[in-house]
Amino acid sequence: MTLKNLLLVFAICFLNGFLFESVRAAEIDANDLSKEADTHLGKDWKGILYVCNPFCEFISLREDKVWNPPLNRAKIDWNHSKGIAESDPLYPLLIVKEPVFPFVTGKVAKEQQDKKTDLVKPPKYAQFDFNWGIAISGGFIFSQSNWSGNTALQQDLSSQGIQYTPTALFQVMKGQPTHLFNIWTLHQFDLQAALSPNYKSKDDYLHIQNQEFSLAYQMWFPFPSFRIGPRLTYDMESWSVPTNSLQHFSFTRQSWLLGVTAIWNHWEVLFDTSLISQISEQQQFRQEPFTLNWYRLKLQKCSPDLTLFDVPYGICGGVSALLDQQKAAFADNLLIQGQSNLNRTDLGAYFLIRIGEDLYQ
Amino acid sequence: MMSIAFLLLLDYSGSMDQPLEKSPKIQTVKSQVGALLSTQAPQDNAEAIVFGTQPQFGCDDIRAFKLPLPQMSKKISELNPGAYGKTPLTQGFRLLVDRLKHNDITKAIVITDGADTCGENPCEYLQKVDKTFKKAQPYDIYLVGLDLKEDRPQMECFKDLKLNNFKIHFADINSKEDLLNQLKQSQFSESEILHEIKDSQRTGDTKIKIFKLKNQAQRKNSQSTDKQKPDPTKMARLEITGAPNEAQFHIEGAKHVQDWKGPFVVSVPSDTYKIRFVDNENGSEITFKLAEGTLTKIPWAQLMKYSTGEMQISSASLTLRWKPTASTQKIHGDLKPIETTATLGVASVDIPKLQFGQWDVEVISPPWLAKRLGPRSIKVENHQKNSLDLKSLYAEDIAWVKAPPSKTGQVLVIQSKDAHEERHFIPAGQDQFDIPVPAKFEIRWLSP
Repeated sequence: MTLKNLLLVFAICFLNGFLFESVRAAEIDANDLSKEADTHLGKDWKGILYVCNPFCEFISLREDKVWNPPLNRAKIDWNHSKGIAESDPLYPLLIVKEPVFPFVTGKVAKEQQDKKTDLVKPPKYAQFDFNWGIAISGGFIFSQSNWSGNTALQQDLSSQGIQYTPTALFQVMKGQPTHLFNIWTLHQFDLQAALSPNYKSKDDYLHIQNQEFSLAYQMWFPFPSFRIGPRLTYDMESWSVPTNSLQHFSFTRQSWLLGVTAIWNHWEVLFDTSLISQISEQQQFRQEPFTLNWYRLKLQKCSPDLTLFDVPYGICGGVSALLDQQKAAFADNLLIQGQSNLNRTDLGAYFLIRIGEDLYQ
Repeated sequence: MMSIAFLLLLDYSGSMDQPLEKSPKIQTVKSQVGALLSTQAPQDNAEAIVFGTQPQFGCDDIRAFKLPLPQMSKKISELNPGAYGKTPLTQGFRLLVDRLKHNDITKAIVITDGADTCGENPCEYLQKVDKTFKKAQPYDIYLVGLDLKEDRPQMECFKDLKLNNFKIHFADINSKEDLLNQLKQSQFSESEILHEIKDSQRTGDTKIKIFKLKNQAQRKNSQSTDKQKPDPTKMARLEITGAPNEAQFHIEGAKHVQDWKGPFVVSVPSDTYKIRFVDNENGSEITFKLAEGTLTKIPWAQLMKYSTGEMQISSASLTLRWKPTASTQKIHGDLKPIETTATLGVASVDIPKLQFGQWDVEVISPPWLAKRLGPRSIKVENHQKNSLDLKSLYAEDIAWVKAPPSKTGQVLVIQSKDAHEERHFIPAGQDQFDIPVPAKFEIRWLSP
């Protein structure tokens, strides 16, 4: 054995001895403290030990006969110690969370772990005062619609100046959040209807009715100063022309729209686009396959709750822009070669008066 | 060859008037260099090369002075930076090298806050001049880049400058404390210390420390070749730690008397001395033997009549750990952190007197606040009644709330924004007092 090896063996033995002695000393001290605890709290006492000078600091938990964490001389101060016995009604309230919970073993720990998600109370910004919040709004949309296409019929759908459309919105929101992978989420449903009974198009002889219904599911991820989340909308709009004029141009469009919405300080911004769209024409002017695009941007500002004759209400105003692109081949029976290209741009402003819960806070 | 105690190259360009830690950089340099010069005998000479004081001369704005130390200190203090002056740093180095060759000094101190603005590169100049002569021991040049800002890249060449005749000790610094340390380093290197001498008979219960210095053979780089001057290893050295640059000291022995300012090391013949902090109101004197080949560090507070301040804490319902900062440690010697225990239900409490200086204060109880709040810096004024209002100090971080009335005690629930929850036991009786809780967390109370 070389000198180097000898020195190494000696060093290991020394360290082993030192560590053993240190651990042994700590064990002896812990045993002494455990006996002291028996003197102060009673033999076989079970509960949580605090030192309160004046605020209470968790020291150790004794569920069976063992203190967990081991009692530490530097932290113990019997003059200011306070025990919460296992039979104390405060005991179950204290052991389920930090700083005590990490030292809980056995059945209680497992039960609490299982219930952990349920016990977590959402922060204030992630919940509303209501369980279900309902709001009903009504108002008008003022818009200018511009249709451009490669047939005169399509272009005639452009509006003559600004058109108005009465609209109604019904909203339901769950005020208490749920967990999604440890993230707080809120849920909201919007049902909206808009009906333009007397749409004036560029062709004075054309009498057009435009209707739109949509049902949206909005998921929110709440943050302290804003919330944001995806929005899935089923949208159905129809453009119909009375039978005695250009009946063949009436069509209904159904779309699934996916978007994202953000709300902060009563401001709301929404952008959505079509996932799946389908068009059915009363007379088949165009034929499948359709290429349909939809891009919509909305910006809205709402007032907080106002009061009129003790009735709370709110006012919202907003602007919106829409680009709708439709491409399809002309139907075979039209004897026209080529493709129908139709682009619609809608620029509008709207206002709504709301009664019910303020869902924009 | 002429003998001088210091050789300096100082930047007085307009940018030196800009503030560093709330005072103009040039004021800091004047104050610290003045204190450094005061550590040598007044009959010694010093040479200073300055640029930037006469901006009308552009790149020729360089002046050199050779004066006895007291006059040099006055001159440095009187000169002021010229607005929009150039920084002829290379030209300054040219003159510095010339003065090094014509004096028997082996080291020089250069302080600048900017790179050369006269189209020359000082590193290239030093490389060039380095090849023109050969010297057994290289010159030590302590180059301080003070708050270099955007000129930093141009000065980086000094970091890797390998020369035969010059050893460049380049320090890129941004604080007064760092400048002081660099100047101290240029005067006395801590590497000269061999070990501490534990001599309780001499130091008693004071915080004075004595260190054995390396002897001539152990010091690889002997600094002086002056045969007339005493061997520095035969001298005793003294440092008043933590003293500001303005603090005046007087040392008086049987054969040697000296006055100086600040925290720099002074060298004196070995003897028993009366050492005094010259201050009418608070200065005091000790008698101490300074032995040959040793460095004695006397904390400044040891030379004071009083060095503590009273402290009254309002809204004292927090247990605090007071940790002295490094500068306070230097003033008083080794100080241990202290704890002040929270007191509920009183408007204010007086805690034991604290050593004056800067302290870092940290909340250690209640446990739900411990480690959540960073340390706060508190200044304790000497010989004064200091006050500390904890509600104001932690106005943004702590909310003070009342617990609902309870006869059996209750549970304080603290929940963070990520839904992490803590539960703390609040014993019966504490519902009468304001309980400090973290302001940015949600809290609620539970009772059985």
